[in-house]
Amino acid sequence: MGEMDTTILCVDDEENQLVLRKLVLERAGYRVLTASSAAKAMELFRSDSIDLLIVDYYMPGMSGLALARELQQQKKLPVVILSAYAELPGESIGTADVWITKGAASEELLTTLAELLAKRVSVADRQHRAAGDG
Amino acid sequence: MLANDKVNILMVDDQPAKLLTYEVILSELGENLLKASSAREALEQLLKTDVAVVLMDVSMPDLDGFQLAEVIREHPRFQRTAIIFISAVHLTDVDRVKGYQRGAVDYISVPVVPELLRAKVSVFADLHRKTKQLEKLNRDLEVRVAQSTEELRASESQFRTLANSIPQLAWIADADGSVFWYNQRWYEYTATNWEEVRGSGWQKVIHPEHATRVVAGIEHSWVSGDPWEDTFPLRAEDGGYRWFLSRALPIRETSGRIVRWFGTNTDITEQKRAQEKVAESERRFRTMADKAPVMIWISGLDKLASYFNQPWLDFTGRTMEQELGNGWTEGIHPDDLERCRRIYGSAFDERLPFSLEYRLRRADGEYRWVVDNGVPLIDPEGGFSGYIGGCIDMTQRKLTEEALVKSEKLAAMGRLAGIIAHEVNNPLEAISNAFFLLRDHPSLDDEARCYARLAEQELRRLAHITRQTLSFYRESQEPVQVSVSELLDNVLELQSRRLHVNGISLQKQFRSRGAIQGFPNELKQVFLNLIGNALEAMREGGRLRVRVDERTDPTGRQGVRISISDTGSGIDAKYAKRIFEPFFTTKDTKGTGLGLWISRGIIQKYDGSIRFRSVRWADGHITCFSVFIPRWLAARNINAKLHEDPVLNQPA
Repeated sequence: MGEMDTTILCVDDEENQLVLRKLVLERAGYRVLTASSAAKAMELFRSDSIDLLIVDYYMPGMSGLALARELQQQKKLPVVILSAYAELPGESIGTADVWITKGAASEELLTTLAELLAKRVSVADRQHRAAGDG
Repeated sequence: MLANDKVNILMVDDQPAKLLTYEVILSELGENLLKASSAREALEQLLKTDVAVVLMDVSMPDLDGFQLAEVIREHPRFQRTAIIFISAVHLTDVDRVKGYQRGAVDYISVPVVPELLRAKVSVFADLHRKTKQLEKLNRDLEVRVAQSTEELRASESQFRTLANSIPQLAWIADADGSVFWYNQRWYEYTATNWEEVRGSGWQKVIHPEHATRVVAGIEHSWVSGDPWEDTFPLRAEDGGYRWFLSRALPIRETSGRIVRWFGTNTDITEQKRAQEKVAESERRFRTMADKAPVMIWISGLDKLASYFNQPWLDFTGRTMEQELGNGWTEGIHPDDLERCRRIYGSAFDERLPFSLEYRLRRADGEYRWVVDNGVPLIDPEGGFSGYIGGCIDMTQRKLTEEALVKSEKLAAMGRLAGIIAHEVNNPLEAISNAFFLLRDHPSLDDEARCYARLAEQELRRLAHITRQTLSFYRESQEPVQVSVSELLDNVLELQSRRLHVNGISLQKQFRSRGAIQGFPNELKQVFLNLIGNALEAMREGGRLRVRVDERTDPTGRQGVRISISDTGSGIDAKYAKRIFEPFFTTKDTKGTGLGLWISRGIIQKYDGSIRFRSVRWADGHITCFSVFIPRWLAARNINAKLHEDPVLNQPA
């Protein structure tokens, strides 16, 4: 899958959740950076190359959604928003966003990530081929 | 003069002896005997006294008898005075005729036969006496007539003065109805004169629309002799009309014969206006009462109902006659009747307002809860005249209140669920991840790994239940992509236990994912309602078929059609029109009667449609609800806050 090539930034204000999620993702082969606040996340985002963002919707201070918007301004990347609630707030709808309700099995998150990355790769391939052909 | 009054008998002769003889003969008659010895003396006597009979000698020295008779006759007073001639010589027939011509009435020849003389004189004396008596009687009569005429004149004048002083118009007609007198007010009011209105001239001032009837009525009375009465307008001096109550009474003699008619016309225009005002205000009240969205009743002093407005009659479907008196109590639920009677009765006796709640039978036979507020009717003078009450159908309000309470509860529950979801899902996520990491950890032996997997499976179930039950808290303001098939799977999964318990077989025919734009929760609510209703209808088992396919509606819009059919109890045709009404339910107390109403409301917001069909099939029914939802939401609906309505996740 070439997951090690993919760097995921995980943001959540709850430490336990953050640690466990990081372990699950690493088990699946991803490179995972974690941040427990929006400020930390932005710092990491600037210093490292991030391919995918997983944020908790509810965080003190800047919400996960606001953070995602902010980072997407700097670099277009897929975003997974986690929430304890069942539905995605309307304003968060964007092409690269995926909403996942917390409490689901770990596999669901992994499957979603794989799908998102596959899409991104295929788009990149097409763009690459188109550039090569041109 | 009495019958035996003496009359004067004048004896004229120039010979005293003869006079004496006559005196002797006639004294027996008992009359007054006057004597004159000459014509001149005789005339003096005649002029002085009233003489019944003149007895005279034909031959006398100055004037003979014939000459004297002639003179006497010339005087008007004596033209009829009886004159008897006494003649010493034999009178020829010529002499007699001459005597009669001169005014004699009889002759007596000499020698005078005393009896004859007496007899003749007596006849004339009597004749005179009788004549005098007659004359006197006649005079008396004339005096009396004159007196009574004067009296009548006085009384009639008195009457007319009286008739002129009353405020009414008055008139007098003779027995056959010809009016011969009107009072002054008549002339003043009608501005007519005697020539115009004499006899039947009065008919001219009757309002033309009434004239025929009035004339016919009064003419009937002229003939029958019955008193007459009528009300009609009479033309006034200014050409306008005023209303009069007119009466005529016959005036009868003691024999009973009608001699006069006395009539009056009383101006009742003001009374009539007042009456019309009352009638108008009555009419206005009725109109107002009939247009009011309240059922209104009025009762009288006897506690009996005397009026119901149209809304009441429409509600009960009965006629005024059926409801009046105690009739209305027939519509009260038997369990409420006694209580109503007691409260109404005691409030009435104390003249206090009351408020009653009871069940009243509606025209379709359904008992509805009504609240009835009654107040005593007190007129401006403080008199009590009964009660007036207003009554409203509370059933709807009660149900609305219940629904509001329910929706309020649901909203609160939703908020609570949101909090719980947050608090449960976060640790659940952590635990799930922990078991994910644990189950394949190299340090675990097979047994420990097995435990970990078991725990993970149970966690998955827990997560699922949490998501299903706590997910109706929603923040979403904008529609998302929804798969109708997935939603249906979701709902069916929630109902799987019920399907199993009721022995219902499920047939799913999902020919499409059913991708549409929308709000999953409210759509889920629609399907939960429809499927819930279907299951409710199949308590004894049956077949549930759920189908999804792509459709294009008659206007060319692409969309998804969902049909849900059951083999349950079916929907009676008589309810077909009402099942989408709010609060309509066939489930007694179990249903809110809102499910289908809300479902239709939701589908309509999507510009979709919901319809149903229920047909007899084999020995049961097939009922199919079919929903069409366009794939794309119209722009206006995206902006509209679709979930402003109370979200009631209750099947109907």
